[in-house]
Amino acid sequence: MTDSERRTGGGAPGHKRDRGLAAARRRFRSFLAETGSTTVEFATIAPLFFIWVFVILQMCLLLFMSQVLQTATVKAGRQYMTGNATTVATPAAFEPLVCANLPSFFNCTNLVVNLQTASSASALAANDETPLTYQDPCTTTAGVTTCTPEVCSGATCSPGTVTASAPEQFAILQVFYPAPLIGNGFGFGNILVGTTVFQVEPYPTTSS
Amino acid sequence: MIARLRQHIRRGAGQWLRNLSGTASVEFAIALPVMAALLLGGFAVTSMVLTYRKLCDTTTQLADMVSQLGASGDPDILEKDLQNSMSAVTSVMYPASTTGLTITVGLVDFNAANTPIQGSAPTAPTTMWIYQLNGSTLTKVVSPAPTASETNALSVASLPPTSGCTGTTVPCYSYFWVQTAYTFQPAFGGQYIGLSIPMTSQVFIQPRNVNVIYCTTDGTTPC
Repeated sequence: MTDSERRTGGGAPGHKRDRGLAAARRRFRSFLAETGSTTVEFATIAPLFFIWVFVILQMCLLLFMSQVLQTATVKAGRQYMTGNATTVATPAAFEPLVCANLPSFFNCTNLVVNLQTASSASALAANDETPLTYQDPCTTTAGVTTCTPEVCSGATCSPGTVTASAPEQFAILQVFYPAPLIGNGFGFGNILVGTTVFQVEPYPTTSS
Repeated sequence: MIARLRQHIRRGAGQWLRNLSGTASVEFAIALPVMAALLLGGFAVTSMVLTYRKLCDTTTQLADMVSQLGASGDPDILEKDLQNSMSAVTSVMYPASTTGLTITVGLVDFNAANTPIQGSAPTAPTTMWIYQLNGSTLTKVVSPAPTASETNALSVASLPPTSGCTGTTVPCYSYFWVQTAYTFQPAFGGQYIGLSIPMTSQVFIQPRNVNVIYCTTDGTTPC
């Protein structure tokens, strides 16, 4: 048998059965070909690799946001503590105190501010024992989503009210923020929390 | 027979070594443990930094609170007030668990010569006291305590002594010593390897309303 005959499957050219056999052999040889194998392997591995890198970046972002939120909470609490924010009496007025110290990628309308105040450390400790809760500031009615930052005063969360800063008052300030991660849609939602506890400075309340 | 088998194996091994198919998958499999360690390690280290930051915030915020205890003309502080301040500040650690958190508050007195007064005069409330909160239990302890070098370093500050304060056992001014200790357990390492990392933070702060603080259990009885 000549080489030409071997390549075509042998036999007389033009024979139907032989042509089919030759085509099958060519298909078999294409399975053995290694041309572009690296590309195919990379295409197989790439999704897993990129997901992995993406998860690492998301973790970094999440933990960075936690640190930033804690810093913003402490700074906002300090303004309340030093009497610099005595006029704060509504959620709308309190939220900017926190928001001013947050980077622009935080959506401030999703912040939940929880301020518990007490006249003594014992009352504060009693309040502190109530479960820390997060309330979604967004409500959807008739397809329209509205986000309202909530401020709670005392153990009972009553949106829209906050006790104004008073000298020697004890307070716990918590700021919740739902981190907008891609994994949220898969049940990996993460609520970040910044907390500060302090006693308001004995600043003078009357002007002479 | 054996020689032929050897030759067969040698030839097979050679072919296997020369075979380049699946290279990317093999390389990925080799890199996977390193990447997994990078991910878990990065998460653990960053969580630890975040927890340590919360621990430091807990310490400084408690120090700020206890420094306001005591009032001019009434230098007594109640053991219960101390405990309430300590338990209120534990919420700063959230979302980290407060299990394994120990908070210690003590007082270091100084005499007119700026020398720390420690452990003398058992009947007087001037003796340095140390309280520790572990969970919800407050106990008076002897240790941990600030080291002699730390308290001696403070005395260099040489604050103005209380008027008429003389002698070596009479307290002229004092410092609160606040220490927090926490055992951090990484999410993965703590569960599967039993890894735990102890961390501490401490602050010295002077009482703001009076020079010397006296601790009492009921307003009159020394702690």
